[in-house]
Amino acid sequence: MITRRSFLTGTTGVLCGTAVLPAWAGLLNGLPFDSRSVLLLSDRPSPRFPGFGIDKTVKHRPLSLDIAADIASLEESELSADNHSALVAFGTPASIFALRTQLSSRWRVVVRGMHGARDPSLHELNAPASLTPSLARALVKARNEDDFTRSLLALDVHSIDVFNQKQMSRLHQGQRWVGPPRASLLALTRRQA
Amino acid sequence: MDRILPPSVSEEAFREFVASAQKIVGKDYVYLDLEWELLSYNDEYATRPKELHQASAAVAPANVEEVQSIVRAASQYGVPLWPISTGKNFAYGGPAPRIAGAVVLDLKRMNRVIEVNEKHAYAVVEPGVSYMDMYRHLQNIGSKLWIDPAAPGWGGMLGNLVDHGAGYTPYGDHLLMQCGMEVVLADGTITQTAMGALPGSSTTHLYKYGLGPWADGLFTQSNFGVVTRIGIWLMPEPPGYTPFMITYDREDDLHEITERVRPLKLNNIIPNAATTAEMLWEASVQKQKRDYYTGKGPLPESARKKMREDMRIGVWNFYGAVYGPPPVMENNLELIRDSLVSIPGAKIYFDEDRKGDVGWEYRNKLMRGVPNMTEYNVMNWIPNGGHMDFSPISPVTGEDAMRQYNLIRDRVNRAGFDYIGEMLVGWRDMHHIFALVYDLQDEDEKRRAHALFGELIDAAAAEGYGEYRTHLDFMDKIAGTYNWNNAAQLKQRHRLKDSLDPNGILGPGKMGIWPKQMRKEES
Repeated sequence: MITRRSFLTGTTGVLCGTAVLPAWAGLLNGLPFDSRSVLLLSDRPSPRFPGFGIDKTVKHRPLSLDIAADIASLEESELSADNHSALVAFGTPASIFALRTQLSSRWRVVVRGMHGARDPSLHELNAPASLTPSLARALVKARNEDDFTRSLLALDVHSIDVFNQKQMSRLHQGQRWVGPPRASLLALTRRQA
Repeated sequence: MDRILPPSVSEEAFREFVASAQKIVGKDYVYLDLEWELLSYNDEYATRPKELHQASAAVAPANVEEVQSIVRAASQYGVPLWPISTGKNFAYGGPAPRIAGAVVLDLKRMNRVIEVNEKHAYAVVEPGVSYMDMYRHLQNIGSKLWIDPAAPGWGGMLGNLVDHGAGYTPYGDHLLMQCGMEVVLADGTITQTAMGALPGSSTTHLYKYGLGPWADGLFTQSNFGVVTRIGIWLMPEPPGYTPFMITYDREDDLHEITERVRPLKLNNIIPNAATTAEMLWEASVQKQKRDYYTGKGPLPESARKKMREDMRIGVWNFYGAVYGPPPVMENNLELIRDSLVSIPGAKIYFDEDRKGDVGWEYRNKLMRGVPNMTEYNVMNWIPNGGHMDFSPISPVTGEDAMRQYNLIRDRVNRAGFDYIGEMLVGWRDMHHIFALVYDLQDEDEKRRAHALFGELIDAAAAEGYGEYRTHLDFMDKIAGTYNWNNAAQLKQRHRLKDSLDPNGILGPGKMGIWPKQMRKEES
């Protein structure tokens, strides 16, 4: 049996943690067992990820401009209790801007994306240099924001020291996304820094 | 980016200040990391390099005693502080300081609602309380009091008030509704204004003026002290509320609308902010420009016409509301109909006529004190949208409304931007708010936006119009237009600054007020 104590004091938890993590959940690699959950904020009713057992580890919450602007109250009430270690969000540029500027200092925004602002196939990303190649590859394949969300969830941010790298802004040619411009965000908790 | 130091402060002195600050508020609340922490204090919509307003650090005290200690430490080491409440006023620079190297004094953690007085209809709040927080608090305690939120509603009540912000209910003149203020002066002294100076006072939040000079205004849009608490009057929920919208077809109708609104406001027939919004303000909160036009420059008339048809809006769209018992509302609505709806082509709408209309819904909420963010969607109008607001004050006359509209629209369109504006009539004046929206990823567009803003200030001043509020980059320029009698007003403010803050540590440059050591020579 794995307890929080045995996890923190030995290697058993790491093994167990590795075993229970779905293959796609790179974001959660190397994290303590009790903080392995991702908060997914999206303004679409129910993002679909066929073939992914995502429900167990990812908690989806609706995102609107009003919710983004008031995220601190949500953080204080229910979100902090869930002890999420990562946050992925997709929405309109205004909503994601509001969310980014309202997140408490508990969070550090590691990846910022703007998709289809100038052209439906152009994606602008601001991310640590070491993540840029994998994000660029993901964008080449991603046909829509669900695909890219999966790529964000799969990023293995913990094998790379993302907090000690310069953020870089790059424009990437990717697949053409249908619809109005979208923005994305990946934030990790400060304690991981 | 290398570490930025406050002007004229040595690295050693800065380090000592930081150590003091960490001792006062705790290490977790002193932010130094440029890459990760201080990003939150940038001017996100800057049209010039962000470095010009880059903070050297941020310090977030939890209470007034910590504010006092931080102010004293800043004074000891000569470190300039830039106080902010919630820092959400992005159109005017957000949380960023006027000068690079200043330390942001972030008061967000001071977020207590100290009191809600149902009997006398007021509240007392700290700087970190946003409109959304206050609204939730009143709902939770079952209060029958309304707040008057700004649009968008994520801003701080105190910060908005001390920046002379306005709202959309009958209590929309926020400074007028302020009563009682706690201020930390530059030497760390706490002072209470007006009746609050009387020990045991039971009228601190009931009578604004006390005895002697009324000082509260000195601490608004200024850098003479740090406001740490305010009393604010709240509107009792009225027995009835009927919002309405009137659309007008022609650009020139603005003249007649304004002429007719004036007596309705002077006689309090329309008690709230009577707002005349140009069509693109309405459109930009729910549409994107590229849905109608993908070319360069301002939206052409053909696209504007299609937009009006799709959205059932006019070239001008008037919003107001009546409040009170039904007979009072009916009587006032009759007067409003006779006056405003008799302009040819005018159409009046009520709630039942515009269900599902995003533009109507958010105005409806604002006029009854429900904070929301809908207006912020204007940032989606163009890709990578950012904005600065140009806000001249005007008399409430048709002639002035048209003159200001033409003055701004012509220059804005020539510079390749859309006119997104509205006019809000208060007690005797009209606030003309023009949102200059530009692409943050387009350096040329930002440069043009910056130049246009300067041109608008000059053009407005030449016609005798001054702005009531502005972005960090233009504080000096606008303060310079208030130059009657050899800038006597600014000189008086500088004398006050020297007296109240001799070390010049509070908000250097705020609204053109500089401490002695940073001031250009005054003749």
